[in-house]
Amino acid sequence: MKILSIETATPVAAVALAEGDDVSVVEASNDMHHVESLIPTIEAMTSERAWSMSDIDLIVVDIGPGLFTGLRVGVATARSLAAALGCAIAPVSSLEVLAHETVEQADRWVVIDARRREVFAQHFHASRALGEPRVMSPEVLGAAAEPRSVLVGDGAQRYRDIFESAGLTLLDDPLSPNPAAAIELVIGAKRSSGIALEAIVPQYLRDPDAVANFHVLDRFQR
Amino acid sequence: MTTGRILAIESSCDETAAAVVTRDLRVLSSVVSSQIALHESFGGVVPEIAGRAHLEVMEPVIEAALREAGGSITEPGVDAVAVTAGPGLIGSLLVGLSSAKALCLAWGLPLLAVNHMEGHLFAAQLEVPDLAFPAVTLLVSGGHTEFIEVRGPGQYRLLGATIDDAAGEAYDKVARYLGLGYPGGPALDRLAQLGNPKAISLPRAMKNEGLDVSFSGLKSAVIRAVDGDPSLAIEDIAASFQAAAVDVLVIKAMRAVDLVGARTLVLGGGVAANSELRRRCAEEAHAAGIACALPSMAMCTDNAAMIGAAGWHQFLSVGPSSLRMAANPSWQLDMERDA
Ligand SMILES: [Zn+2]
Repeated sequence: MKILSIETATPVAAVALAEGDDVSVVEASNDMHHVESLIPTIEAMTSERAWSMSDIDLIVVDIGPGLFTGLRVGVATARSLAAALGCAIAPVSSLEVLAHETVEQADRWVVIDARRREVFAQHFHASRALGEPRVMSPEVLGAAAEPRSVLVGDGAQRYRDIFESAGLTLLDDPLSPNPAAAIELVIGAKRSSGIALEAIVPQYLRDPDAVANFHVLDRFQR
Repeated sequence: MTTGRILAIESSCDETAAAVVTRDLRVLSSVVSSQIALHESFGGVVPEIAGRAHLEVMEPVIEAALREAGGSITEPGVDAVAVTAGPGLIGSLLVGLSSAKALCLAWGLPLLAVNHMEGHLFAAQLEVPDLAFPAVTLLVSGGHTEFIEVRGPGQYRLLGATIDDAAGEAYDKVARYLGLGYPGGPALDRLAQLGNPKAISLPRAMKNEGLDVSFSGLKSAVIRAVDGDPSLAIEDIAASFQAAAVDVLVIKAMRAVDLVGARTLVLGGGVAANSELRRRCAEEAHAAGIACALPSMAMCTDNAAMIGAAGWHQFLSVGPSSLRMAANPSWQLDMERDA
């Protein structure tokens, strides 16, 4: 089975291709230039393996939580590829992928930077999630996490001072979800078939800002 | 083997649209999914809501457009994919551009990144194939008020523009002030037809100077007039505002026509659906002995067929875009500027 995995939940965009044990990963962008770099990276990687796009059987895509701009690029790309190729598509959670990569750390919080002084975070023990993914301030997370937990992800690094002064330990690596780990997660959980395209939407965890693009409205409303 | 067709995708603001257009600019399908209901209660387009909505309907809209033209999403039967790459809301543009690139890679087809404004300039040609050049296009929408000389595909000159609010913005704001909801332009237009356009005397800003226009003063003048006389009928306020706004647009449009010796006056953009603006443009063009192209409502507002038309022009004259292309929310159309 030939698998393409797309990762765009953080400022790092990455692509993985896998066929059995033969797995390759390429970082497409590390500065939010996802729309520019994603498709050219997929094109280069597939042609290096001499895959035709129509050979692809499954597309795995990270649906977040994460940065909305990146998720839009990843999810739109994955959905349109799956539709045009007529292949299967499977979503993964960014937090679950990071948890999968750090499964040897029994008790941990996976933390992704949500900007605006907030993080997306979820508590895991071994391969089990202990709660739902949530958006919260680093201070709230610092108070909620117990000292035996380690923190992992770019959100943990960003608010390192807050977490360390709360007595918590940080893992320096990984910062961003690895699209190859996403493939392992999907195959391991046997959730790679029968998922409708319409069900593939980003996990936002935050309501849209209800601010209309109508900058002078307030002045006018008197 | 070429099919002589391209798929076009538009998602720059609050309409998700896809169309299939032939090389001779016949529209085989044009599907538009509007988000107006989602933004209504906010009184304007909410960028994050727009971005989310585009993502959910993009493939269904593309599939519908392909099916209607006799293809399918796995067997599209097109030669290229054209997509709006700007200007517009970044979160909205990214969805269409990402989808378009993905389709190009999956189908092995070239990408055509199109400027949304150029799409508007081509819209009239989809309905008036023998349009006589040079033309003056009055592009009026919630985001734009521009007078552009079009000598042919790719040959544009910006003659004048608003120096503050767009005409559609002025309509929406006055409509909101009058409690007409969002989008307020059509409701204001209907009310205006029942009122006396001379009930309030309103300024025609910059009427005698150049080809630029200004609408912010008009909006304030409406508010002052209503505050000064609370007994004014809403129909009369609407009619007076509409008369002043349309007056300014038509005076400047005809001045632009004179300046370049245009053979056709073309209307484009959402406000081109306004009944009074259409009536006055047709009247003035007729009086000046030139043609007036008034595209249908569906072609005036945002749609993908116009992106397909601009896409064909680009395909034949410039060639495909790179798959590395970025979205550009403030992409200025390449135009000569003077006047
Ligand atoms: Zn438009």
